[in-house]
Amino acid sequence: MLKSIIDKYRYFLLFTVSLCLSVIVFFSYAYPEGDETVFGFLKRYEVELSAPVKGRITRNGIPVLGMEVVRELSYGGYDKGEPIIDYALTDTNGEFSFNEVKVKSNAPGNIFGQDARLRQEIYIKKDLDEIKDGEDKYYWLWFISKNWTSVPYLNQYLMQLNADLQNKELQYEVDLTQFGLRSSQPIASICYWEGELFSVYYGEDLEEITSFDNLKD
Amino acid sequence: MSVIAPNIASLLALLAYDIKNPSGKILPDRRVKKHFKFSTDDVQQASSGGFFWRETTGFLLIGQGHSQQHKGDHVIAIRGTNTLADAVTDITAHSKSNDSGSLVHTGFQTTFESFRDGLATYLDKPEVLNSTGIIHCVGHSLGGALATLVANWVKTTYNKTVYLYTFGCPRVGYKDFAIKSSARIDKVYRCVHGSDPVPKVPVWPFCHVHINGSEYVPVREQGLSPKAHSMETAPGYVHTTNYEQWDDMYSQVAGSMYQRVVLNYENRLQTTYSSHWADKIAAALMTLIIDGGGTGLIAAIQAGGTTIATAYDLMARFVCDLANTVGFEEQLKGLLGHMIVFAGKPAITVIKYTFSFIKWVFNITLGRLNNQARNAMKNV
Repeated sequence: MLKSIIDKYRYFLLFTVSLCLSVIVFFSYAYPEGDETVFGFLKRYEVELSAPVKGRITRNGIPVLGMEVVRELSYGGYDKGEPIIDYALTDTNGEFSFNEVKVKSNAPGNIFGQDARLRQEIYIKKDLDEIKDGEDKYYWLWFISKNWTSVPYLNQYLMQLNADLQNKELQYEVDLTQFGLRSSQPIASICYWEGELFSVYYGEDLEEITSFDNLKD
Repeated sequence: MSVIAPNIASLLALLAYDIKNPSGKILPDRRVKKHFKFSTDDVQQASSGGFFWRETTGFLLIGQGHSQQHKGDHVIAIRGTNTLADAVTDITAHSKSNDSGSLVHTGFQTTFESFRDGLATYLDKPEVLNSTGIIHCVGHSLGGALATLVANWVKTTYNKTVYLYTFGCPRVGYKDFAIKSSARIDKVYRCVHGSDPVPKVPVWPFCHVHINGSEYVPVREQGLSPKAHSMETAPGYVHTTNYEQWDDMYSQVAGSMYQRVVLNYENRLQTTYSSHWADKIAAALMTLIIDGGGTGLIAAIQAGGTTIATAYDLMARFVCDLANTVGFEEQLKGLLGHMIVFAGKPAITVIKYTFSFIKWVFNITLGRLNNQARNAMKNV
């Protein structure tokens, strides 16, 4: 029955399908970019959840072996913001690394999805006896909540997650204006970095730090 | 005890997006931290504390003021949600009575009701209840719409000083709601980009708060583009509102629906797809109906809680009847001509005065306005 219908309307069906296809092809060529394309809302963007990560953990200057480092990546426009969690162990030199993670999402082209937050959290769990009153239960190597756009300037710091567990947690604010993003992107980390676009703040009152030497107890 | 500066208010609206994520850490900008503390800074408190709702009801972030300017104040930052986005552009969506009996959008009211009791638990705490500080309600996009409902409810229920700050906020309710909440809420800072399409939906009979139409417009560019709605990517509300004072930002009184506008058919090709023309065309439709003796119809629609689709059907019927009345032809032709160009079909030059044609023109006009948003939303 179905076969006879298909046979009967074969050319009509073929014609319809090819017409649809050519319309789609036409529009996708006619409006390759931009927001107001007919199929713009269907466009899938490649979102870099994390660039490659590398770092080295020490305690009082001595490399820490076998320490578990956790990377949690989540993006509001992917899998309902459910985190992707990876683990890495430090080697004899205290070094660890993670691969890059990229996903596809159409949220960046969505009027209500374009501000979905991308969070990169890289941390080491503290032992229970290490948690002092009112302190975080993690050593934060990297915490950022940002726009979906990949910023190579920030990614270079993901390759330098070198920290001593005695370091103080700092709040960095990065001026991303030249990349079309906010002028004060916060990052929390116990790594000590200097960068031309970085300002560094410490403590309850977030006082600006000019030298890491002052942070020693 | 003072107004939150625009640069801080927009950072708060952006920060609200962070609470969608199940992770406990919140990292505000230091300029925000200087004024407000969020208990989620401490992860343990957040998971046991009662004022941070995640995933299931995760819309609110509440902060306590500690700076000289904001000591004793509380800030409620609210995020929007993609699921509400469909509701906003659905012209057949119903409106619903809110707590004080005025008609507001069902989608907003239902979402608000889902976290209202949780918010009440926070506001009922003695230290909050007895404080004389200001309650600041902040939100971007659909979060702005929810912030408007929160502000109205806090004022009605707790009679505290309430300030409302919204960025790219859609219209929330009917005229009655807009009038009453404008009178209740102590200060309203409604900030929009000229080319942001979201503040243009839902269309009339929905109205903005404040009812007098005052709005802050840091970017006045014309033409509607979804990009203009973003908090962070250019133009980006966090960049354009980088002012210490609201007075430093350009403000205006938006074109009122109720100003008198008559459009001349010959000038229709000047129409552009922009917020300016969206307002002008709406005002022209209103003028035509009032001129034709339809004030009763308008009042009935505003009070009746019909859907937008029904409201525009009723208006199409009325306007169609008017076409047969001597003296209204030119005015109607001008209006329909401008609508057709606004909807992006300038090639259509034949105007028919049948109900089906008029209804079609109304549909394509509303359709284009809703289109970007609706299309954009389909896949999330």
